[in-house]
Amino acid sequence: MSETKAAARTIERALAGDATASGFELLRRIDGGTPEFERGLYPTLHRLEADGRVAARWEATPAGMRRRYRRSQWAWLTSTRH
Amino acid sequence: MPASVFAILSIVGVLVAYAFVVGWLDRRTARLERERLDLESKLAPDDLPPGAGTFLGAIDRSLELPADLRAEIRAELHAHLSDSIEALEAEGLDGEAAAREATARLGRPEELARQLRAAHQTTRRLLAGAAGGVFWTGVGLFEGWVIAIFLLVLGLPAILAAAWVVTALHISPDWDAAGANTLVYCLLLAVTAFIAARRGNAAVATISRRPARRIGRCWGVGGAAAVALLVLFVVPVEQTAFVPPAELAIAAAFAAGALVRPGRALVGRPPVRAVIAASLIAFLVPTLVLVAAGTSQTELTAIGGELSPAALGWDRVAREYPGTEGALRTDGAEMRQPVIEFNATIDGLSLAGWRDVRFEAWRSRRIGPINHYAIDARFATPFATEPAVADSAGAYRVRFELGHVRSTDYWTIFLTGVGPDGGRYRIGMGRPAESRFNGTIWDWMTAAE
Repeated sequence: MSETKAAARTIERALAGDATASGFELLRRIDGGTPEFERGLYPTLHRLEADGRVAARWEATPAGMRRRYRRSQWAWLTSTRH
Repeated sequence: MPASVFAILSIVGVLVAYAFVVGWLDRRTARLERERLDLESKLAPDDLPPGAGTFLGAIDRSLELPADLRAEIRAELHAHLSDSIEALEAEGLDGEAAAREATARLGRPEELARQLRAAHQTTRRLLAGAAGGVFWTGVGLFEGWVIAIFLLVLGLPAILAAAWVVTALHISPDWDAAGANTLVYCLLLAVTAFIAARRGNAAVATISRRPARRIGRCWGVGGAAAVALLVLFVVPVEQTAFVPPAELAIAAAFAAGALVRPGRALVGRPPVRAVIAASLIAFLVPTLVLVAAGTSQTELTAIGGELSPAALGWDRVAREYPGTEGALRTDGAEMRQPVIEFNATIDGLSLAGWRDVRFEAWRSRRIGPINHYAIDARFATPFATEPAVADSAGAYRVRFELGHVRSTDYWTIFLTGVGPDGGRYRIGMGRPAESRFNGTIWDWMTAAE
C-alpha cells in the first residue's frame, strides 16, 4: 500500500462514525503520526474531499478565526446535526 | 495588387498583429496577477509570527488555483499554524521558534502547494471542465449574438455614415451590399466569438480548478485554431479580397476572449448616465451626419447620355455587326451561385456562313446603383467562352461555372462570331448581372484570377 493510500486510510479511520475534526485536531487524534504524515495531511484531506469521501464545512471560532472541519461523507449525510 | 497577394498579406498581418497583442496582454495579465498576489501577501493576517506569514505567502504564490480556493486553503493553513504555534508555545518554545517548528512540520511551502494543487487539479475534473466549457461556450454564443446585434443596432447610423462616405468618395467603386453584409456578419461573429470564448474559458477554469489564465492559453489557442479551420476550409462565404482577414478576425477574437483578463470582469461597471450619454452620442452624431448629407446621392456621370457601347467597353469585345441590333433575345438567364445558365434565341439574323459563334463571359463592373454595368477595363479577354450551338428549336443554351474564378462578381455575356467577311463581330449581349464568389477562404486563395 502506498504512503498516500495509507495516510488516507488512517484519516478515514480517525473520522469514522460521527467524528468531526479540523486538520490540527486530526493530528492530535492520530497520536504518533510521522513527519511525513503531517507534511501530507492537507493534500490528503483535500484529495479525499475531491473524491467525495470526506465532507467539510467552515466554522467560526469565538476569536474570529475560521476553521475547516471534516467528517466522513457517509456520516455527514446520515447525521441529523448539521 | 493581385487579390491572392492582398489576401495573403492581410492574413499574415492579422496573425502577426494577433501574436503581438496576445503576447502583450498575456505579459500584462501575468504582471497584474503577480502584483495582486504580492499585495495579498502584504495584507496577510498579522496575528501570526512573521515566519508563518511568509510561509503562507509562499504557498499562495505557488498554488495556481482559483482565487476563492486559494483563499480557503490559506485560511485553513492559517488556522492550523495558529493552533500548532499555540501548542508549541505551551510546550515552552518562544514565538519565533514555535513558528519555525510549526512551518517546518508542514514541509517546504512549494512542495505543499504542489501537492495541494495536484489534489484539486485531477484529470477527471479537467475532462468535466472541458465538457462544461463546450456547453457554456454554446450558451456564450447565444448571449454573444444578442449583444452583438444590440451593438449593431446602436452603431447602425455610424455604419451607414461610413458607407455613405465610402460611396461619396469613390473609395471603392465596386462597393456593394453583398460584400458589406459579409463584413458585418464577420464583425457580429467576432463579437460573439469573443464573448463565447470568455464564457467557455471561465467554465473550464472553475470546474477544473485551474487558473483561468493557464486554461485561457489552451482554450484560446485550441478554439481559435478550430474556428480558423472552420472558416478556412469548411464554411462557404461570399468572398472578396477583404473577407479572408475579416473571417480570420473571428478566430482571433475567440483567442482574445480567452486571453484578455481571463476569469475577471473585462471592464468595471461604468456609470449608467455615462452609458446613456455614450449611446446617444454614438447614435445621434452619425444620424445627424446622414441627415446633413440629405439626398445628395452621388450621381455618376456615366448615367444619362453616356451609355454608348464605347463608353461601356462593349466595343472592346468586338465590333457590332451591322444590322444586328436586338439580334440576341434573352429567353432566360439564371444565376445560381456559382453557375450562370443562359438561354437565348437569335432574331432576324441568319448565322449561315458564320463560323466560331460563341458565348463570351466578360468581367464587368457596376457603374450605377441599379443594373448599370460596364466592361471591367482591367481585363482584356473574357474569363470563359462556350461554343454556341442551337438545338432543334433554334434555342441556345450556355452554362458557365464560376466556382473557382475570382473577380466575377459582375459579368456580362456576349454572343460573338466570325462573320462572312472574316472579322469577329458582336452579335448581341445578354442581360448583365452579378454573382458572388461563394466558397471558403481556401477556395478563394486557390482560385483562378
